[in-house]
Amino acid sequence: MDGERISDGEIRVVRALLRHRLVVLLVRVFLGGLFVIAGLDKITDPAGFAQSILNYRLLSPTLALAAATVIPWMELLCGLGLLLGLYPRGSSLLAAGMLLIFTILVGVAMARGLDIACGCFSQDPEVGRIGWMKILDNTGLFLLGLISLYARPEVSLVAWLRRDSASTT
Amino acid sequence: MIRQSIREAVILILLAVVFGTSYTFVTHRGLFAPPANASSRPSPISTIDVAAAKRGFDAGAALFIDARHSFEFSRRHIPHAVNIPLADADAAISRLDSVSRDRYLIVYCDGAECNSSMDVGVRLMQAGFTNVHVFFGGWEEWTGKGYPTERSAS
Repeated sequence: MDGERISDGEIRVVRALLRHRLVVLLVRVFLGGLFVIAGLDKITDPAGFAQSILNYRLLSPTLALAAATVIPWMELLCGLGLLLGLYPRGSSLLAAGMLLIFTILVGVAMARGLDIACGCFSQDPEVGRIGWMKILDNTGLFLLGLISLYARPEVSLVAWLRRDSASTT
Repeated sequence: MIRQSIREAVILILLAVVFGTSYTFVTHRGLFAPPANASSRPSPISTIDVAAAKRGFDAGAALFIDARHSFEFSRRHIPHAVNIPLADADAAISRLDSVSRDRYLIVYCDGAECNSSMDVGVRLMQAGFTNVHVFFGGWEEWTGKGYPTERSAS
């Protein structure tokens, strides 16, 4: 059994890898870009997003509209935060928190036998139907959010571009 | 670190509330779309049962309005029904220009548990339709009786 246990050295290597500047930069650019795209799509169509929320049959129309008013902006702001390095820890926490809640909601909808669109990146009812793949996607993104949360806050696309331009001048 | 993360996240949430409400208030969308409040007002719309809905269908006099999501509508709906999902109600109602304002309209959604038929009915009345009736039993009761349905032509 001892041979199968992960050694402290291996844990240190994995930890160092996950906190490596380049890994963190890629994670934040990917996650930030994804949240910006998701947020913009919903901001331009709040009624469509409210309908997507209503499809989960958990909120009243008024609460769904209230959620559709705020959630897209939360996504946009935390996406920009991750990309630009503004409030990086708060953006990471918010991203991970939202992904956790979205994953639970998809799971609850599946358990209730609903066959609906996720409403995650598009309000087209034909796109992104909920299912195990969606749970897997969201869980993966949630883990990326945790990596970003525990990484150095100063790593961002803007910081990297600045450093790059500073080194060339 | 945790405290700072929470503080930053709270600031972001507050900013999202400010930006979100300002944007929808200025653009009259989402929460501030005028018809959003219509559902909370008592409405004078009459409600009908499945038998009355079927009579309207058999007589060919009624125009059925399907207030469900367009995806559900595309799967199956009451024959010749027009889809007016709540989220897109204003745009969809504006496409009913050629329909006479006193036409016998029967609005339905999933069943007794959904409110969108009532909400769409209110908006139809606001748009000037005078003969609007909500079939509360909706899709569930209609299909439960084995009454005819059709799939959207693709």
